[in-house]
Amino acid sequence: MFSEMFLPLAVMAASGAGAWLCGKRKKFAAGIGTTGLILGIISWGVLFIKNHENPDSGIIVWAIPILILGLCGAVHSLAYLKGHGEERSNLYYLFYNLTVASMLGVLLVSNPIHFLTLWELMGLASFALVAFDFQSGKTREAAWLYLLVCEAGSLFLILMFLAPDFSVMRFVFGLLGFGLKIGFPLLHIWLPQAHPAAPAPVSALMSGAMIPLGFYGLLKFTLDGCSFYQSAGIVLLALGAVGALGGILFSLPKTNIKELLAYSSIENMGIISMGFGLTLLSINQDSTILYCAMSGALLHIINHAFLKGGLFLGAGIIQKAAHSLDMEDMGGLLKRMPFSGSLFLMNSAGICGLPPFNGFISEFLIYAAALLAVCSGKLLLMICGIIVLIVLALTGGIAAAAFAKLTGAVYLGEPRTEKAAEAKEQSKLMTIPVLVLFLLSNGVTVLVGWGNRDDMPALFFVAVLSTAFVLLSALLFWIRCKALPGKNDVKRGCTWDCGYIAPTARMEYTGSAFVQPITDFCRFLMKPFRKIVPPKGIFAKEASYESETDDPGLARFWNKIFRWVSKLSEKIHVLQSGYLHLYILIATAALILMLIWGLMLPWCGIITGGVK
Amino acid sequence: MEHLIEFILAVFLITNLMMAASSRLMHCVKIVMIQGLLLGLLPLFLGHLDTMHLIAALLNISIKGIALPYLLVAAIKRADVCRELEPLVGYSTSLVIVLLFFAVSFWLGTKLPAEESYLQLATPTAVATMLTGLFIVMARRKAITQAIGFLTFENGISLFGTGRMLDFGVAVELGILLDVLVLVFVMGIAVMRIKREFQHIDSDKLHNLGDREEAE
Repeated sequence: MFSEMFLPLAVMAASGAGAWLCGKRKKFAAGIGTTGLILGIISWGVLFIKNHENPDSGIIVWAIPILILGLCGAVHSLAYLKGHGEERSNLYYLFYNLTVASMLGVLLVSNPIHFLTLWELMGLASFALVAFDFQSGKTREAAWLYLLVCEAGSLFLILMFLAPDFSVMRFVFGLLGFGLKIGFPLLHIWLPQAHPAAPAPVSALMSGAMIPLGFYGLLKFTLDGCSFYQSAGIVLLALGAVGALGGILFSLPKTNIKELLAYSSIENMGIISMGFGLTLLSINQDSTILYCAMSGALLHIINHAFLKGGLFLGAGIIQKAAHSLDMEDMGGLLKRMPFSGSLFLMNSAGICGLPPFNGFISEFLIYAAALLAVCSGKLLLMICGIIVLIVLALTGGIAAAAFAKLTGAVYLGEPRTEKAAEAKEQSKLMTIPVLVLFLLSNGVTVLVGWGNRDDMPALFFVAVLSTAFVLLSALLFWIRCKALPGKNDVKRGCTWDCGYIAPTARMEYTGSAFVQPITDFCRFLMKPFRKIVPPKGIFAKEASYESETDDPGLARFWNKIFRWVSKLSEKIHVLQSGYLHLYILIATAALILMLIWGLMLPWCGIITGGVK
Repeated sequence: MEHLIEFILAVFLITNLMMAASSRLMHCVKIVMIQGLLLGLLPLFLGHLDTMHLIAALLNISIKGIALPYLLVAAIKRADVCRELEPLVGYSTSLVIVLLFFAVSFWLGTKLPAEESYLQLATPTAVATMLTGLFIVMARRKAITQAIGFLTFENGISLFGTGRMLDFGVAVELGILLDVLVLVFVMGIAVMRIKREFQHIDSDKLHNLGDREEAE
């Protein structure tokens, strides 16, 4: 079907291998690896356009993020790797190309064995990328967790393919296997660890393009043709609602930029999952809701890829400029890096779903579907619609708070450390990909609005308004910079002076302080670990405040299970006595018991059927 | 003919009991040799003889009846042991356990579908022989006795293949035969080395070489 489309993938893999063979000659490695990747991506796109009549061309929703993020990430890596594990860059290009190739390959196959092989290759190659900065213990830990999650996911997928078609068992295993990739609540634990550990372009690729592949698998292998889509829809919707709310709530107290972005990915996957849940619920009920919810979910995959890709690449720029990822070390970066800073700000607004940017369009479609569901007059649809509306509104508000905290702490105010004070605009190779992603994401808004001008006038209206707003802002900016008098008479002072004689950066709001009202309100949920030393007396010498919020899934669920399993395995260890006699005894006893069991059961024909 | 086959199978069962009760290594080797010869003779009485079965019979007689006992006797002489002194399970208890195995295997034999009426005894005898062989491996200390037990186990498998006339029975049997031959060779060499190194060939004392730390 798509057989010739594997050729570009082979080109990518081969160029990756070529880059690897270059060894220490890093310029050659970068040249070969990146050229091969770009060639492969472009030719894949061309071949796809040639084949677009193919019934399976719906994969484009997942292919666009891979192609665009793969390309932008590769360009970004060229600058990102300088002084950042540069001596191992040949390995980086090998695994980067392999990851992109296997991700595209996953979309092309439908045979379970081929799918599992490529899926496993994708997990292993990206594991190598997550472990790229292996000198740090935290990275090794994160990579180890990621590997475990990948393997557990593959195990569930194998079980899914073994389970009978269209059975509940198949659905459950599929949900677990693909859910581990998507990051459904409780299965999400690897995201907030692996994303901060991986190099920025890799985080962008994984968050924007790899995680949504879980939805692809879920739709293609688990839900396709299943008969209980109503209950499946409810499950997806519930998982999505919990994931969206929980993800964004737990992003609030995080001070690591990429960790916050990772939690935001969990939130966005939750929104997409709610969209698919509504879609499934409205099958055979209401085609308008189905259309809105499905297109909203699919569009949100693309939007999230562009926006989150831009944000992660932007986080890479911040990391290179300020030599840290902790937002409490930063401040005042907007003055020092106005271009990439404003791109980051606009991307943040987009990911919160604020109107002029494209994140709004997809959330708007899901909102519309939910509203239609509430008005549909069917009880189940009404309840689900109300839940979706509440969750979407809440997550939108909390996301705005989280990203206001992120951008405020990083870009506004005064620098809190020397390194942040010395930050400056980075190489064009890093900023251009972010700009491209931003322009593309807004192009999506225009395209969607224009494409639906007859079917959905509201969408067209939104798109026109957004474009008009953006153009108006650009015009005003231009007038301010070029046309108004006094354009050269700009004074730059310190921020938030408040009339003090000698303000210092220690007086300004930190990110944690900014979100404290919300985190305090949700303390019963987050259970933060807090250490407070209050000021004593009139002339207090010292006072401090520390707080840390652990991931609920890891701290309250998985760690308990891990401890329990290790206790159990310690007990089983007794069996490993070292006596050959005992081993043989155990094996024989097991064999005999199995034989007796097999002969006692009514289906003993399976065993004895092979005997003549 | 039928009586002859049943007679052979009955002798097999008796040899199993003798195996469980005997402490002398030479005696055990002789019993295994008898089993090998009986196994080689069995296909000749089955009625429909083809080349494959003939080859299998010849190989069984020459390897199990002659070559392996010879190798075992050589190993016993070199290692200078003639008795299993302290078995893990005593001889009278062993007899009881093997009798229990017989009961279990006859019960299993009634459950498995039987097609050739005159070979009804073959399946239970085969299972009983396998279990006895495994039991010998488990319950004895000396490496040589364990090799003999494994050989008995293999005799049981061959008996199962011949008795039920499986499609690929002969091929599988020949494969296992090769396995056993290699095992006895390796055992013969290893026993010498272990004897030289540790002054004994008791396999249960070797577990100290494992990597698990003793919880003391």
